[in-house]
Amino acid sequence: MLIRQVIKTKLKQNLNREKSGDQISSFLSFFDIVNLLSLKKKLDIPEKLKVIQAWQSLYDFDLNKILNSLKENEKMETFNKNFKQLYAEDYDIQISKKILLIFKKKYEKILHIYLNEEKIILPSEAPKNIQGDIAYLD
Amino acid sequence: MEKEIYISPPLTQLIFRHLASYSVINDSRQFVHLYQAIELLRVVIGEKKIEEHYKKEYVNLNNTLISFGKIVYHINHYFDLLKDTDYKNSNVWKETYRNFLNALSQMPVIHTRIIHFFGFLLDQTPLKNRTIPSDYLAQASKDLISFETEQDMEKKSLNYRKQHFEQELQKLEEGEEKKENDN
Repeated sequence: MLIRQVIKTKLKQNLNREKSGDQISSFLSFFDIVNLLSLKKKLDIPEKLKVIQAWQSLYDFDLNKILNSLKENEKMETFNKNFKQLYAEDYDIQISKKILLIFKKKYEKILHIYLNEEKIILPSEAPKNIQGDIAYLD
Repeated sequence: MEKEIYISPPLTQLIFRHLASYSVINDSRQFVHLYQAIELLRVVIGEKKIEEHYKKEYVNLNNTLISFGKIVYHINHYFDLLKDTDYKNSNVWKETYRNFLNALSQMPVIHTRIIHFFGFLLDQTPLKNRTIPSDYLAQASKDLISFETEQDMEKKSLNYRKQHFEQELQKLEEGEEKKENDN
């Protein structure tokens, strides 16, 4: 009962958070929800390792390299703007974000099914429109 | 069936307050509250019972909890020094922000084990069959940071000033009308 309430509240808050445009931290809270669901329903999450790797690669930037690339007397604001742009355009970052989004899309459906007290669909039984996404993660 | 462990009402309230914040806050501070709830439950259940359940895994579990504590420390440190509008403008120049990012990158690695431990602790208590009071959830939502940009805040401030000016103008006009009517 308690875990179910926590999942439900978290999911509602997560949607609000996503609306505020904070995609990355909303993903971490989503991962939190999925793990709670897996605890409650003894659900296996086969993509977990891949998702953890994708998540970590979002933070895998070499800070020393960034600091060395800093131009003399460059203002902090300019540096930050350039850094954010480089970060957003980085290929590995984009791929990682894509993996996280696919994961989220798949488990969002499963979570809604759980909260509506319907039977949880196993990946092999998933609707065709998300089977491709699952295959991509697997 | 094993007997559930009794938790006193004040401690139950405290745990529920942390769980309310864990449920409502989603900007990574939720882990601070999860950590606090776990620590309280851990004291209630006692190390002996945990050790008996986890056996050889007990040392690993303790190490995971130490890592979790470090992550929570960095999250706390970052948010303690943060103003509302700074969140979106955080930058890698600040050490607290770098430590915060580093802590977040580690979180999913230990998360499953932490959640399973949390589940184990809850299962030993009657709390698992109860729900968090709704007023705790409402109070926890007051701790949410408004993630507005500076532009949004400026717009809000301008609107507020505009409204205030219009109200003052209306008062003046009403006052003048009253004077004219009195004359």
